[in-house]
Amino acid sequence: MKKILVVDNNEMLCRLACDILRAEGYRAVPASNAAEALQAFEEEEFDLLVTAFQMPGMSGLELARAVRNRSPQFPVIVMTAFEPVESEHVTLWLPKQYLFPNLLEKIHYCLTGVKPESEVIHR
Amino acid sequence: MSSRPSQDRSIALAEATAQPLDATRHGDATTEVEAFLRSRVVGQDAAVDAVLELYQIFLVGMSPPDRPVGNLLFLGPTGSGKTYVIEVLAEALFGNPHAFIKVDCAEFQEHHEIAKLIGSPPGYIGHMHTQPILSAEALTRWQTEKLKLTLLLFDEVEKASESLWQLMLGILDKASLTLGDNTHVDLSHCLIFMTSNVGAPEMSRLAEGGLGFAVQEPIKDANLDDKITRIANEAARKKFSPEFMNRLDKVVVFKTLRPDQLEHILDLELAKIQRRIAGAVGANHFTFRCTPEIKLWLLREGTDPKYGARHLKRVIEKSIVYGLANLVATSQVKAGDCVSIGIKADGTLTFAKIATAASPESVSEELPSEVLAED
Repeated sequence: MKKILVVDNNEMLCRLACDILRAEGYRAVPASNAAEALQAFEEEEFDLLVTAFQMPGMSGLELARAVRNRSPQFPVIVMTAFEPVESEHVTLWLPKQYLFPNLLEKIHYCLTGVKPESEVIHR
Repeated sequence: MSSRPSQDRSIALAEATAQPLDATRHGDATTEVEAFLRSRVVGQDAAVDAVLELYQIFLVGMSPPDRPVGNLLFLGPTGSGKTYVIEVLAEALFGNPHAFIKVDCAEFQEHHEIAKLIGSPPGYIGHMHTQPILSAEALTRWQTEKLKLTLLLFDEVEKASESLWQLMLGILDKASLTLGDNTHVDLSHCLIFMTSNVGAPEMSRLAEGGLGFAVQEPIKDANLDDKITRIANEAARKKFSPEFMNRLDKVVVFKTLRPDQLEHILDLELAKIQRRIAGAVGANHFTFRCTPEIKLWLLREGTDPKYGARHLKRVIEKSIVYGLANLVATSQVKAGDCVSIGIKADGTLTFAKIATAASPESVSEELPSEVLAED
């Protein structure tokens, strides 16, 4: 079972997203900020990181950079309500306005390499 | 011989003053499980009765020694809830609907695939690396101090290969299994379920009113369930060997679900979603309610005579849950809010906030004009 770390300071969204991912057969672990996420990475191994872009303290982009410094090819999906920015540390950007079911397609793509049907990927 | 009349009198007196007993009553533990099952399983009382009977026998320690607690074969149309009954039982007993071992018989078509179930013998590739699905550890994984019971499901048993059949016959008869490393596993604490769709094409034909491309009205036959029961039993007798059928404690044929039962299932599924939201989000959750129109739409999209309620969960997940999650993602819904979900004439889903944490009294039966999100 693939293990996904979901990071968002919107606790309701974070937990709801984890619940949906679990219903899809993933093991999803919630974290409410980047520090908590990095702590989780210290303790467990994950297959994918899904993080919000803007968070108090360390941003999602900084978190992605920290994770990629440890593991350069690690897949990272960043959810954002804003315009995506150019970053070599992000595998896929995903607009929050169209989170579901797009997030599931993107996760599937990141974990299997199979491209999603609808292309709303911003690199 | 002289004591005979007085003995007879004593027996007559004892019978006259005997306290009547009720052998149909369940103990407290079974009653709790029964209440849970009956509140969640719709239209399949025979299956619930069969499960409860075996569970009660197990609880009082009267299950036959050296045999599984029970061997149950569930037959019936797809989407009628065969696996669901086991999930609900697992939730009732262990608080987790996934607390059972599932062996998907279709995955064991080749002889060598049996190694996944019992482990590879010493010297073979994978020995010591493959954890057998039916190891002693796996069988006790969900057991608790109070309840030493394991639920084991052989799904789509008609697809089992010859090797799997031989293995299953041994398990059903002696509750014993020899693993690849020659250790023995005791399955006498297992309640074994087998599900099968044998006779499914004939059942579908009955439920749909015929085969072919023409859209036909489903048969409105009062004896439909009797006919389906007969078809399922006949198909099982044809498909399965007598030695298999003789090892079964009960054969339950699941009924086709009536429209009112499907509506009840929809309400249960929606309540489950609300509990999921509360469970995932905690005390500060939001609530939702569905208009009669969206309920009708969900029933139309998620159920049909051929597949029963099979797709209902998926349709609810895609339309209701994803929609609500998107509202949360865009901060349109917050803790304490109440969202009304409806549908327009063109089939577009509508989400509207009918109450907020600050104004709980504003909940009304009327649909508000403000539409927050459209799917």
